[in-house]
Amino acid sequence: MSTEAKNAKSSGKCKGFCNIYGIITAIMLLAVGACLIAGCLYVYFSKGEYSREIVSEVFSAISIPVFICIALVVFGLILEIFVPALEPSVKADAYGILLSRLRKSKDLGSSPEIASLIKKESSSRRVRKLASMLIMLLSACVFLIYSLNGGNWENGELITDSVIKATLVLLACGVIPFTFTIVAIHLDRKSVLREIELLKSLENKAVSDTDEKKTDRQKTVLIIRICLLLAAVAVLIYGLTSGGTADVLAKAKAICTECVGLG
Amino acid sequence: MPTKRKLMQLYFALLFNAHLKGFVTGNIYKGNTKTVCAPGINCYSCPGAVAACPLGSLQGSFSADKSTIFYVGGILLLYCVIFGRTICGWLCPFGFIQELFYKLRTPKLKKNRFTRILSFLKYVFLVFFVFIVPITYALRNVPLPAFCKYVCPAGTLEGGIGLLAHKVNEGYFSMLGPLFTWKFALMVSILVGCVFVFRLFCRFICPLGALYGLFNRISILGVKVEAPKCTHCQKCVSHCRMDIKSVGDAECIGCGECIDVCPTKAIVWKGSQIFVRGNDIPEKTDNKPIGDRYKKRRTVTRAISTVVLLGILVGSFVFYHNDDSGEASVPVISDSSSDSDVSSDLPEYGNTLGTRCYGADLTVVTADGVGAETVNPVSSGKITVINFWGTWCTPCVNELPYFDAIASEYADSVSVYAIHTEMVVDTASAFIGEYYPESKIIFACDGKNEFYYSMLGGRGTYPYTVILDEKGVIVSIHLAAVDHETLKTEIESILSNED
Repeated sequence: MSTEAKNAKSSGKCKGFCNIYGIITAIMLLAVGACLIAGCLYVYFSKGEYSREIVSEVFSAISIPVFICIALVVFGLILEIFVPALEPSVKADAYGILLSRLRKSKDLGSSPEIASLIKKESSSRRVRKLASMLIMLLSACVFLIYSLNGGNWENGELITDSVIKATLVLLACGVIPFTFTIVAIHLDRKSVLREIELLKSLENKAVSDTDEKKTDRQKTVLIIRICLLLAAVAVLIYGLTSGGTADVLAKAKAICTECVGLG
Repeated sequence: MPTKRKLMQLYFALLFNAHLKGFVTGNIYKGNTKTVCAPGINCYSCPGAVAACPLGSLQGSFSADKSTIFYVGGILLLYCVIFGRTICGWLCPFGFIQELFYKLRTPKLKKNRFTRILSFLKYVFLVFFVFIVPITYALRNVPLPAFCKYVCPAGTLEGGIGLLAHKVNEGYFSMLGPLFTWKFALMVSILVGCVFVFRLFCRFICPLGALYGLFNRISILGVKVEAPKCTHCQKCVSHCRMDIKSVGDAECIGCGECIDVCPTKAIVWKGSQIFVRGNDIPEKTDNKPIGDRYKKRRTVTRAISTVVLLGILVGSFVFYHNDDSGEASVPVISDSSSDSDVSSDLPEYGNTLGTRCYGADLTVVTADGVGAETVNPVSSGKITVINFWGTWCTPCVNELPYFDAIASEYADSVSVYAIHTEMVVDTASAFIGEYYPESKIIFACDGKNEFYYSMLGGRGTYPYTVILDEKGVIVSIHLAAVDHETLKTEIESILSNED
C-alpha cells in the first residue's frame, strides 16, 4: 500500500472518529440542556419555591451527565489540536441567490427559445414545490385525524396494538412526505443548475450608465452618512447637556430584579 | 483573521466586564462609567459590567425623562453610523459566548431558506419588545423593558445567574418564580441551540443586531465589494455562516472571513485605504515578498496597538478594583436622632432581621419637587414600612398602590415611606404629582450613594421593602415585590404582638 493510500485511510478513520465524537457530544449536550430545563421546571412545579439548597439538590442529581459533557468538551479541545476541524467549503446553497442575480442581470428577450426553456424549468419547479407541500399537508391531516380519534384506541384492542398502529401511521405519515421532499429537492437542484446554465448563455442586459449610477450612489451614501453622524452628535450633546445620563446611570447601578429574570 | 477576531472579542468582553471584584464580592459596579452604553449586549446587572446595556437603556428611556431618549438615541445612532453590525462580529460579548459554543465539534445546521426567513424574526422582536410594549407601558407611566424581562438570555446568564452564583446573594433565591423558570429554560435552549446553529441569538432574535443591521450599508466600518473586480462567483455568500444575500447587507456582521475566500480579492474593508492594508496588495495572490518598508511599518503598528490595548485593559482592571465611588459607606446617624446610645448601637452596612436602626434624615419629595423638609422614618414612633423604589422599575411602580392602601388603612399606627432611589428626582415628582397627589405615603429621596438603602441591608435590587416595629427593629425584609395581603398580615402580626 502506498503512503498516500495509507494517509487517506488514516484521515478517513480520523474523520469517522470525529463524526462519532460529534454525534455523542451533540446527544450529551441536548440531554444536559433538557435535564437543566427539566430540573428548573421540577423545582418550580413540585417544590413550589426556589432555595439554594433545593436547587443544589436537584442539580446535583444531573451532575454526572454534566461532567461527561465537560469531559467531552475538553476531549474535543484536545482533539482540535491534533485533528483540526476543517471548515466546510460551502456552508449554504448559494445557487438560489446566484439564480436570482442572473435573472436580474440577463436579458431574456434576446433569445426567445432559451427564455421558453427557462420558463419551463421554473414552472416544473413550482409544480414540484406545490406537490410536496400538498403531500406534507395531507400527511399531517391524516395523522391529526388519527390522533384526534386516539380516545377510541383502547376500545376492544390491546394498548400495545394501539401503540404499534400509531407508530405505523406516524411512520407512514413521516416517511412518505420525507421521501417525496428529498426527491423533489434533488430534482429541484438539477433544474436550478440547468436554469443557471441557460441564463449564463444569455446576453447581459444593456447597462450603459452603471458607473454614473455608482458614483451617484456613493455620493448619496456619503451625504447620508455625514448627516446621520452630525444628527447623532447633536442629539447626543443635547441629551448630555439636559441631564439624560442620570436616568441611565440610575438604572444601570441598580438591579431591577424583574428585568434580569429574578422575579 | 478568525483568531485575530476572537482575540478582539475576548478583549472587549473583558473590557466591558472589567469590574472583576464584582465576581468575588457578588455586587454590581455602581460607578459613573455606567453612564456610557457599551456597544454590544452586556447586561448591566452582571457583577463585572462597567457600562450600561444599550438595549436596556433604550427601553428604560421611554419611561424616563425626555432627555434620556436623546442621550441613548444619540449613542446608538453614533454606533450605528460608525460601526454598523461590525459590533456584532467584533465587540459583542454575547456574540463571543455564542461563537465559543459553536466551536464544539458537533453536527451543524447549515443556513438555508428557512433560516433566512427566520432571520426576519429579529425585526419583530425589535419592533414589538423594544418599541411597542415599552412605549405602550411608558404612556401609562409603567416602565417595562419587555425584551430584558421576557427574552434576553444575556440578562439571565450574566445578570441573573451571575448574581445567584454568589453565596452573598442567597436571598435572591426566595424571589425566583415563573419568570425565572421561563427565562432559564429559554436561556438554556438558546445556548444549546448555539452549539448547532451559528449565532442563533444574533441571527434570529437580537433586536440590537437588527437595529445595527439597518445601517450596515452606510456605516463607516465594515466590509464592501468592489464591483469591477467581482465575478459573482458567490463564494463569499456560500462561505458566510450568517444569512446574507450579499456582502455588507443587513445580516453581515463584518467578521471579514469572506475577504480571505474571495478569489478576485474584490472584498475589502471599508476605508481600508486609510486604516489598514487594502486587499489588492499582491501579497497572497502572487506570493511576492512584501516590501521591507511595509513589513516594518506593520510590525511597529501592531506592537504599538497591542501595547496600548493591553495597557487600557490592565488599567481598567486596576481602576475598577480600586474604585469605590459607587460603594455605600457605613451610614452616619443624623444629629436629630433623639437616642443617646446611637454610637454604641450603630447599625452596620447590610443590616439583617432583628437589628435596631435609628435612621437619618431624608429629604421629602412632593409633586412640586424636592423641598427643604426632612423626615426621619425610624423616629416616628409607629410601625414603619419603608419601600425603596424607582420610577424606572416595573415591580416598584406596580406595588405602590398596595403601600398607598396600607398607608390609608393603618394611618394611626403605621407610617409608610417610599424612598426613591438616588437619581433625577424630577421624574419621581412628576410621577407623584400625577398618580399620588393625595397619598398618605411619605415620599422621600435617598441620599448620596443610597446610604439609607444600604443601611437597611439593600444589595442593589429593587424593589426592596423593610418593615420596622415602633422601636426601630427590623422585623421583615422583602427582596422582591410584595402584595397587599402580605403587608397586611405582617402589620397585623406586629400589632397583635404588641397587644
